[in-house]
Amino acid sequence: MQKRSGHIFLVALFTLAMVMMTPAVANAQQPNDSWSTNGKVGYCGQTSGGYVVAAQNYLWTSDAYLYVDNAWGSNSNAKMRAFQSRFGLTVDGCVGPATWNTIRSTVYSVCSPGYACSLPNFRVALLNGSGQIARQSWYSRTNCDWGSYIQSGINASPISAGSTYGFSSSLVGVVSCV
Amino acid sequence: MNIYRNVTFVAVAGLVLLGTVGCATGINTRPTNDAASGSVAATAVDAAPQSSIRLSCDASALPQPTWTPPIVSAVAVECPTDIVNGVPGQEAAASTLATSHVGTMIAYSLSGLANQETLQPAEAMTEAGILSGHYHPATAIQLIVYPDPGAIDTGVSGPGITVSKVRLDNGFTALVTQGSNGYGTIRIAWTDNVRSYLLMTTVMKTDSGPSGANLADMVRMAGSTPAS
Repeated sequence: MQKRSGHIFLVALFTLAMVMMTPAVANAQQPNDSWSTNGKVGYCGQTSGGYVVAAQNYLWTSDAYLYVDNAWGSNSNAKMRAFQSRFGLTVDGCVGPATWNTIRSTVYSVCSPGYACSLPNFRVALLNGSGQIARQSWYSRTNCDWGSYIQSGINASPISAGSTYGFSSSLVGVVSCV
Repeated sequence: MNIYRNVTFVAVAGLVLLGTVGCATGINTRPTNDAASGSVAATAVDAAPQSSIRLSCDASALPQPTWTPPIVSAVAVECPTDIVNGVPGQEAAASTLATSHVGTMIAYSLSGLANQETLQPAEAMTEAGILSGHYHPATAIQLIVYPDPGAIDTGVSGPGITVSKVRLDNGFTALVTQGSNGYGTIRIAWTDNVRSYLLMTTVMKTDSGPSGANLADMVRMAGSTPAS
């Protein structure tokens, strides 16, 4: 009887420990909000892949860039240099940590921070002189990944409208959370 | 008797584990804010005339700044339903997208050449124009009023970003982020324990001078927002 109760105790303690540790594991998967750890984009780094899509998705709104096509070229480079120049950054067309953070600072949650909303849930919006939306770009933030939601009208092959591309060196969807 | 002792031990161990894990994962408690030092009359800000758009929310019921910088030229409101319905390509699913936690955006247009759009196609841009900051989008002040209290967006930090806390005139403490070089997006975020707020403007170096509003004006504008 005493031995049996001891076994029950150990099983209960183990189960309780696993239940308590689950939030820690889930929280450990949260994406880095600062974007400064994103891969470098441009002639200094990646010229295709999810990070390129993220940068082009942003340039569509900030600089009326055409089109999100997963190919970083001279137009992308010129638009990014113009972006860097007006924010006092090094004007080299290279999207590194400081440039990524400047971009990130313009992106905001449409949903109350800390609450779950339907995706996409982050936006950057440019307004016209009447305060109405002139252009906007969307991003999705899940519990474990960021992704660029590509709206219709701004994409070119191989990028598909209505798709979300994860922040990654390659062209993948948003990582599913475990 | 041994069973009761073991159960008690497990319960105590569980409480200890919960506390430890809670600290490790940073389970947040709702921040407390001092009460407003005095009441501020909330005056409704008229939306800019939008004859083809009927507001789907009662923006006049939201706390709004009673002071805005002199360069503010117009005000427009974007309701949660409009924001959700405005996701291009998602219109068919818009009716299923939840709006209960989506904020209301109040947009303040700004006068002045530095705040107007001067973008050109990439092939038309000159090197001198790029370096002078001639090519830039329009700038506005945006206030997002979230329907839930407590949480503040802390996602902006790291290289090139300065983070600080400021006590606003309305008595609440705000988290302020801005570019360390004086340019970039100024973000002022706070909560009044009923709603949360994010006030933003973008300061750019243009060939017509700096765009947006300065930090002092933004802090004053935020502080003029009464509590819910």
